Amino acid sequence: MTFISLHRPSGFWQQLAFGARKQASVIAALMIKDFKARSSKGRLGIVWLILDPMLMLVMMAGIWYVIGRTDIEGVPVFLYLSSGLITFSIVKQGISSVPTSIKANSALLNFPQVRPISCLVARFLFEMFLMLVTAFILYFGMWWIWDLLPAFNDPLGLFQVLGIAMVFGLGLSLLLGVYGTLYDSVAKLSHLVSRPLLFFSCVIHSLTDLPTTAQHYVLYNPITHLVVSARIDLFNLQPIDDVNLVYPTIWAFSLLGLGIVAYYVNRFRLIHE
Amino acid sequence: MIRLENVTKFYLTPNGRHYVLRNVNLHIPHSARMGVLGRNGAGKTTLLKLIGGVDVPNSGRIIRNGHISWPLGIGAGVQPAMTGVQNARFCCRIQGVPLEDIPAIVEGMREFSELGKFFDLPAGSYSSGMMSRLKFAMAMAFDFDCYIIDELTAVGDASFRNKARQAFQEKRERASFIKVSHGLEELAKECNCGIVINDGVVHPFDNFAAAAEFYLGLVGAEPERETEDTDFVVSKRNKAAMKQAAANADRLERRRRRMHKRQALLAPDTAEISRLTPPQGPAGKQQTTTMRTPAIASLGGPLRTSHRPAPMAPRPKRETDR
Repeated sequence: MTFISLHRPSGFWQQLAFGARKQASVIAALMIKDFKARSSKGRLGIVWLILDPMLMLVMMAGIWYVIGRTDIEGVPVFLYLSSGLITFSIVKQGISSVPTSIKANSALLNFPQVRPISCLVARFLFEMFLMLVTAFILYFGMWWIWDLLPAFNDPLGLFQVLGIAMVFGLGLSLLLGVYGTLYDSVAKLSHLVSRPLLFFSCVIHSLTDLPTTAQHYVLYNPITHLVVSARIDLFNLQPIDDVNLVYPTIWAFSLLGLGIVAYYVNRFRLIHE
Repeated sequence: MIRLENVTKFYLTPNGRHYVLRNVNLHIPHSARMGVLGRNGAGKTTLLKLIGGVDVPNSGRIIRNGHISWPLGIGAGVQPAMTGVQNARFCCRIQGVPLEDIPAIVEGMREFSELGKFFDLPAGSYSSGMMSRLKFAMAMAFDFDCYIIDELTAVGDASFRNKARQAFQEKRERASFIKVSHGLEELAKECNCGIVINDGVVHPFDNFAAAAEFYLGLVGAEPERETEDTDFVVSKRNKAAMKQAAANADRLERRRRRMHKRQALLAPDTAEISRLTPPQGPAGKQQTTTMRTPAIASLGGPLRTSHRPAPMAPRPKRETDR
């Protein structure tokens, strides 16, 4: 049997670097573990993970085609819906997939290197990576098959929107990851609340399709601002006065701060759960 | 070396706090091969988790020098959805093993565990004995300074037990271990000291026989040898024997209290197992990990610190104090 000796450095900075490297390897190991666990579920395995959002897109676009509309605000339905779906999914992972990661990896918390936050961060990064791959395949496919490509009139603005969406998603992940693990009712309630979010975030329709009163209420939802902003940056649409990025940014960083505090306060309880 | 200073651990239950360990002071030297005894639910696993760094005390601190293994228990440590190979790789990755070394180590684990084709199947399909083989193989692949074993070697067939014993004999040359097992004879063969946990109090003994005697007195039982198995089993057949055992326990407890009082006068707050051989661990690997009292207590969170003032006289200044 091959044995390995584990040598730790003695200096402060060397120990810090050693610890950081070790945590990075823990997160990488958890990501690989997540990938293997997901991909070994069926014969098609990982293909389903990427196909799943695509099928949802086809289904939603099909409804529009049945109604008789091939474009929304002058943008082909597929392109229009895909942009909203990707932005929304980044946030949605913080409610659906990431919070379950602590319970899913509970057996591995027996290793002192694996902490509950490692599980949350690893799952979040894995989901973001998966989303990136899905978005690339989606847009490449649409360009290949239908010659559809977004205008990308403001790429930096788009990165900004996606960045805020990621911070928003991470904040939700931490908050719901902590309290969803400690209290089952929180996890169930969050799933229940998030269901109609798809409709209240203007993912499958445009903001201007709604009556003015409804628009007023829908704009209280920070995800709506992110979805509409992403479309403006992608398709060169006319900016809407009430839509801005300050509002979702405040939400995103508030959620992240609350999430970090919630984790810090409950970090020992999470180990027992 | 592992040092526990005023360590208190409790769990929150619907009926309030359940104290598992109260103000425990313990010094475990490098050369210790320590057996941990106690009734079911006494806090043996909790103590091992605290020493292994998996859990944290509610108050007090634990100073750990050197590389200490994760607690090798029956319960956790292997992800059932992953195969044996995947679990082995995961273990290597989180230990910070360079990528190029992982295949050789995993093959070593495959060989040691003797799981054959099951090594490539999900761990959820393993029997408890197979799971123990995998966990044991994973731990044996690394050179730790101290191994923490929570009844892991008690599971499995005779060949596995022999193999585990042999592996430990090799490791014993350069590593210490802390072991929980209900097999008293197994512990008596391997351990050179012992502790007994009872009602949140840790009773240290500098030889294992004394610990076993104290433990048997506590549980009100006498050792009985099974026909073939080497382990002791508890017998509760004879009422007279039970009474005698209870009387023994009382007598031993009184003696323990007297000894503690005497010890407290000599060395105020630390009961050291000090008559063991000097440290023989590999040089140049000293590193101190200190787990302090959770700072969360000041935020008024649910895990409040319950720091009881250290009894007896003020303790003398040590090198590790900061």
